Amino acid sequence: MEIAFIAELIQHLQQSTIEEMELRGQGCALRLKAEQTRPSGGALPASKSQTLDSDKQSNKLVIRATALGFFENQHPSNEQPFVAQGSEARVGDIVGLVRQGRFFSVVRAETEGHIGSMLKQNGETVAFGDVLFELNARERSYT
Amino acid sequence: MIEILSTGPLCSVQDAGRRGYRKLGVSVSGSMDSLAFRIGNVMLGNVANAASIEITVFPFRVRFTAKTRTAVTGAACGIFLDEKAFPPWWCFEVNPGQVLTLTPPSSGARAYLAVGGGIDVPEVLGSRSTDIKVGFGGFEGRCLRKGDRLAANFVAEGSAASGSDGFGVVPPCKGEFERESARLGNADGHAGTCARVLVGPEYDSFTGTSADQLWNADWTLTPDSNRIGYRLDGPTIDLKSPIEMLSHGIVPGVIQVPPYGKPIVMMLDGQTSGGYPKIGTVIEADLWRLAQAALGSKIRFRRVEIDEAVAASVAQEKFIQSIANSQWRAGWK
Repeated sequence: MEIAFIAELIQHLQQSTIEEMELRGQGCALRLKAEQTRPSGGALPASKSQTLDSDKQSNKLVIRATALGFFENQHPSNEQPFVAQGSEARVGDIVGLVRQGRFFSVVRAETEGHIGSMLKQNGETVAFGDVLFELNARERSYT
Repeated sequence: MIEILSTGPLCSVQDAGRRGYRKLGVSVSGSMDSLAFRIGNVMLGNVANAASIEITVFPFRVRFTAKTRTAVTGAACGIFLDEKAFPPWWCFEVNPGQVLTLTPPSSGARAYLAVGGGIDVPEVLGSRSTDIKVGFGGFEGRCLRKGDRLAANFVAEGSAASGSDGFGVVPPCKGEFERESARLGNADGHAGTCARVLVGPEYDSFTGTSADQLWNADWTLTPDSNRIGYRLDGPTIDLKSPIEMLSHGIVPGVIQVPPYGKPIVMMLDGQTSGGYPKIGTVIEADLWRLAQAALGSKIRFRRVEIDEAVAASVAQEKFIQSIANSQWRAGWK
């Protein structure tokens, strides 16, 4: 296993939410583990931090796709969408689903705020880390 | 253990049913919505017949005493693990002491709570289902009450890949089943339940108008419907002339027409014999649709031949297997 290859893997790992990965090849095994200081969870903490820094003036936060698939803003059993523009999202609230074949994974708000821009339409294909919503943060979060 | 904190009067332990004893007068029992029941067990990697809790009255609350995984399928009820919400048809981990609350559904009538390893109640005549009518099987032969503590064959927690948010499946009422439902009769905006029916042995004994009404009317599911039978309200179905029949064997799905002319669809707790003329039989593959029909809702029947009935059962089996065989499941076993 080339050192350059490992360095590249580490670089990719740092930019993802993957906590730990293991790679096995012929006669070698590699395990990479993120430092504990990085918070766990579905959204991209690094990107979120960047967003926080760059958008601090406008109080913009984002919610990102946690998987590759089709974005669904409502559950097929319910007629109401999880959230609408302007609705309040608290930490842990379900804001959407990502469907892969017959299966769903859930997208939750990881910060509180009001739903601002909805950047993905119902049924639109999303990739891991795509921004689904922009949140308008509550003022008190930054005062 | 699972401790029942809050329940209505008609929640019970059910599995795939007690089969092979109808000759002794023992009803099938079992999960009314066999599709939701089976998919719940598939999501958990349980054996196909692992017992679940069938919930018909909400809110329903339980506390878990051990770490396990659970799946809630069937009616689109609100699912809350402590304060955390999950969408319907969802499988997720629970920790000791956590409380699961199921709130009244926005659609559907029966929810199924499956746990990893299944609910552990004694088998009676080869089944863990509760025969509510007779009072045996399940948990002490009765519906669940507040304070009951159910043993479960809890299995170890899921793989790291599962995470605490778990995963969901697309409900069978959507996708290809929705298109199927449209073909059955929902195409004109009918929001009720559609079920396919084979004509019964006495179909030709009813007047032509009455027979037509079976297919054309929107039948109302009356409040005195239960696991034994669904009493329907609608136009009166008349015989050409009164007929006397000896009692004979009947199965779940049979549509009997008593002398007052309002049909009764026999369900899983129904008696094993009856003497009313049978105008039709709801096909086995559509009994789950009736199971999810809410009291007061409309039901429509569509006539099919036996080939379509068999094809529907095959399609249903393929649907379940497609979930069971999915790559996703590999991370959940």
